[in-house]
Amino acid sequence: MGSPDESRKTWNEFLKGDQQALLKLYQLYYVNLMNYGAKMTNNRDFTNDCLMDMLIDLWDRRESLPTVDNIRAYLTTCLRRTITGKYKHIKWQNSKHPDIALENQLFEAPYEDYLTSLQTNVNVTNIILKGLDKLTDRQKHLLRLKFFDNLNYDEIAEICGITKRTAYNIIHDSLKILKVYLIANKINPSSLDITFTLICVFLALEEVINHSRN
Amino acid sequence: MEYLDFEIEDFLIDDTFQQYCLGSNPESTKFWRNWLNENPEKKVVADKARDMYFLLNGNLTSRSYKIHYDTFSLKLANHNHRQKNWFSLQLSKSKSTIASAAVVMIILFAGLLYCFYLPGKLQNQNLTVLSNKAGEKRTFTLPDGTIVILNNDSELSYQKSFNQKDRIVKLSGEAYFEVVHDKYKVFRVHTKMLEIKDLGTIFNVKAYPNDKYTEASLIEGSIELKVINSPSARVILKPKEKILVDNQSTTSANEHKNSKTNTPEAYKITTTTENPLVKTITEIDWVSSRLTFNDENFDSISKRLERWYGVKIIFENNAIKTYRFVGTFNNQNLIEVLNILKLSNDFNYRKEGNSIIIY
Repeated sequence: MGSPDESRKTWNEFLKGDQQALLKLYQLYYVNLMNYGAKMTNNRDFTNDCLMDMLIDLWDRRESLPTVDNIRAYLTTCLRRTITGKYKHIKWQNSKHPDIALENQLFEAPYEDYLTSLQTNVNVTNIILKGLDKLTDRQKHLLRLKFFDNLNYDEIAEICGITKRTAYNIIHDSLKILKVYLIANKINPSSLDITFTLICVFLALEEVINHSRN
Repeated sequence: MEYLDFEIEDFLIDDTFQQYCLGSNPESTKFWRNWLNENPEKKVVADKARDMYFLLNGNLTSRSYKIHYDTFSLKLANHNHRQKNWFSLQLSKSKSTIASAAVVMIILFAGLLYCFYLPGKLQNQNLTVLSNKAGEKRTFTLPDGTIVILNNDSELSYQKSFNQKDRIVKLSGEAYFEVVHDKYKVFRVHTKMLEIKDLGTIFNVKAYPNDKYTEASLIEGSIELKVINSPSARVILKPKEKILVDNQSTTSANEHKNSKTNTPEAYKITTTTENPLVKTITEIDWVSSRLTFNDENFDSISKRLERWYGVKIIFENNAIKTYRFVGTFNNQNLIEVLNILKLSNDFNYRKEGNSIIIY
């Protein structure tokens, strides 16, 4: 995230050998790269392993790196290479992460597909799916660029060929629609876990009663 | 911009607010924390916006961010350390005395750096101690690359010679291990009641001195165990099996075991349990910050709550200790958890300082 200037400044400090800048790069691109990797591997921890290896490798080679125009694109490419390399290595060893299957990146899946595959709570999945259903494809696309890919408004404006103001307004409207939907269905995101837990507790209660009857 | 009129969508669309939710930018975190302290009436709306943010960003929460970020900074520190050592090795190849002096200096410097970067207190020069207080959970990468997630109120220590000939760590409390395979250097975990020998696997060890049992659960691979109080017994666990060792058992109790008296057995082997709702292994739910009770009595639950939230729990009525609960909690605070438990069984609680009195 962060402004383009901030990213550029951090990158330059990193090249000069400032390790704080390396940590800052991790912070700035965490959401973007984690989600990019999760799309490929569907495994967060494996993605983080790759992300860490990639950044440390860049750190070691910082003096011989090529000139980078688009930092995000460069890091994304590096991460993709690291993931593919590490995946082959694991395949070869065939131990640690047997559950990772590398997705073919020929075409992009819709936003809701990614969200569902990364969400562990079925109730939440259903609600978010119904909510997103109320939005147009364009609205969903912009929400994804903003929240899942974590781009800044300059980048979104450039990709979609609109002004920053328009991008901002579309995202604002989409959030409003989504929020109204969630509230209209009396579903407050923070109460979800509690509802879920309550079910467990009631099940437990029933069990205890049965137990005491026996 | 007037923050006071902010609705959910206004919070959400703000980049600094998103950074605050994730905890990825200390400045944004500081700003929004202060702001919410000054405007507590906006807290409900901001909390809703925060939950919605985690729905939209693909379920990346502040907790997962923190675990990943800590792992990265530790790995980086280890990497620096390793590089310094490698550098000193290169130098020692040239035979000039100045170089040797420099090597000594660099090794000393690297050692200092090492101590400085490693969290946890350093008891003496040869021992590295990683320790967590109640309510803390951290991820460490050991010098051999093994990943350890250390649970609340736990301590892990290893000698400086770790990873030279062998790899031995001592554990008191609970930890999750992802061991890097090295067939020449066996990885061992020593606890008071149990010794675990392993060759590149994933397993969880729970060895709190004041719990009833010491437990080891195997997730992947294979491990060999030695039960301290019955030295003759060597146990090999298969994936999804776990061993329970009674912390009260004594050596003498086991010598009688063969003569078929009624003394309890030193250990038993069962299978790990699956959380039916989220299809995870209950024994390692804590790694993903899930607090799971699987038909446990309140006495043992209270010990876990004490460690998890860093409080003291006192029972005024001992009958309550036998209540049993099943449930899974994600990121909820202690009061929310107690309120939910209260719905299913008849008890009350009050807060006195850092203690919870249950009656």
